Amino acid sequence: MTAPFDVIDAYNRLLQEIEPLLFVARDSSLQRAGGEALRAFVDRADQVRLAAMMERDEEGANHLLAFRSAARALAFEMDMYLLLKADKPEEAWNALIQAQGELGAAARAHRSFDHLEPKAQNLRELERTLFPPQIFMSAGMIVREQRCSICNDSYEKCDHIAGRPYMGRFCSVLLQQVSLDHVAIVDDPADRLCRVTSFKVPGGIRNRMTWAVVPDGDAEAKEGSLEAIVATANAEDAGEEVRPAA
Amino acid sequence: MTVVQSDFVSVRERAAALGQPLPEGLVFLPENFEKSERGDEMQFRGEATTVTKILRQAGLPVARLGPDDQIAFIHNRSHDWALPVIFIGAELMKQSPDMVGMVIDLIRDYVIGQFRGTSDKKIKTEIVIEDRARKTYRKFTYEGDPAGLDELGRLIKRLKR
Repeated sequence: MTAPFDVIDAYNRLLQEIEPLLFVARDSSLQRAGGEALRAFVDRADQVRLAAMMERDEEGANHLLAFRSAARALAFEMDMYLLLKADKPEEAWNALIQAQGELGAAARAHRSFDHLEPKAQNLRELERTLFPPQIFMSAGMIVREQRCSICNDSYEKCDHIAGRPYMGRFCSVLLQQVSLDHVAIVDDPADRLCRVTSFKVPGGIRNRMTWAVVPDGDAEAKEGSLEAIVATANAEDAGEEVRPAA
Repeated sequence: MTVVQSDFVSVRERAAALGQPLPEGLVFLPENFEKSERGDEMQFRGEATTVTKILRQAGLPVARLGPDDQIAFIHNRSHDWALPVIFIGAELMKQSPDMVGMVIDLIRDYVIGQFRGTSDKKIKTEIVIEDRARKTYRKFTYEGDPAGLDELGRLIKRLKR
């Protein structure tokens, strides 16, 4: 069995350096350096994970998948602070949602990351304290073929379960032959990246995140009409991904 | 957390009207069960496949209404997780009175595992129970956090008495 003790030690040391930087007020150059260190750790953990996969060491590979996801969660959180300070709140929102997704992935990947609930609550709280209220969207899709990301067989036929880790990879359902059925505004979306981004007002388009109004290139657009993200191609935290049919 | 009880159409009559034999055991009903015309494509919530696998792997009898080659899946992103409608016939309730509890335990454990490391996650679950003596069908709709699913089991158990 691959013993990822060096990874555990490296992660714990990195965590001690990174955690004090996870505040918006911290120095940006320190935060950028922290983000780079986290990404270097992810690359290293990936190499060890691949080695564990080659050795058919499922326990070790899943453990390393958890370290990878946890480090990516921290990196995305760091990105969020940097993007906010760079006056890029929409990208910052996306980084926060990705951080939440990676944190959940870490907890699903291995039982040793079962203690992340308080951190998850903290990230959820940041949605409310750092960003204005959002209007979320949900797409309903009709899917005629579901394939398994682990064995590439029909998801109907194989034994893999979406969202669970197998040999260092999560099982997700690859949605194929997809058509859009409907779009709705919802309170509790499965994908919080899907939201209303802007709406038409007299004199232009108001960005729902920044509240700034920019001139509208579409003179035909009616007042009150809106723009929104209704679906994303990859929703691994939900155990499914939309992919074009092979 | 809310559990809403409501009357449901006669599953047996509706399945017959659709020309579909009603399988034994736990049966997943399509989303368009009440509105579908005969010969329409059956549309199941995307989560139906995953839940079918989980229940089967635990040795529970579970099937989907309709032929496998005429189905489509609806992937709604409106809830964190929404379960397909499950029908539990009167015979199964009589033979295996603990079945509802087992189903709920398995679903709850899976969803809690899926939501580990996240917060404020909500699920939606619908279970239809047949009462053959009264010739009625009751639908229980649960919306809330996964841990609260126990309450749904308790309510259904009370109905059996």
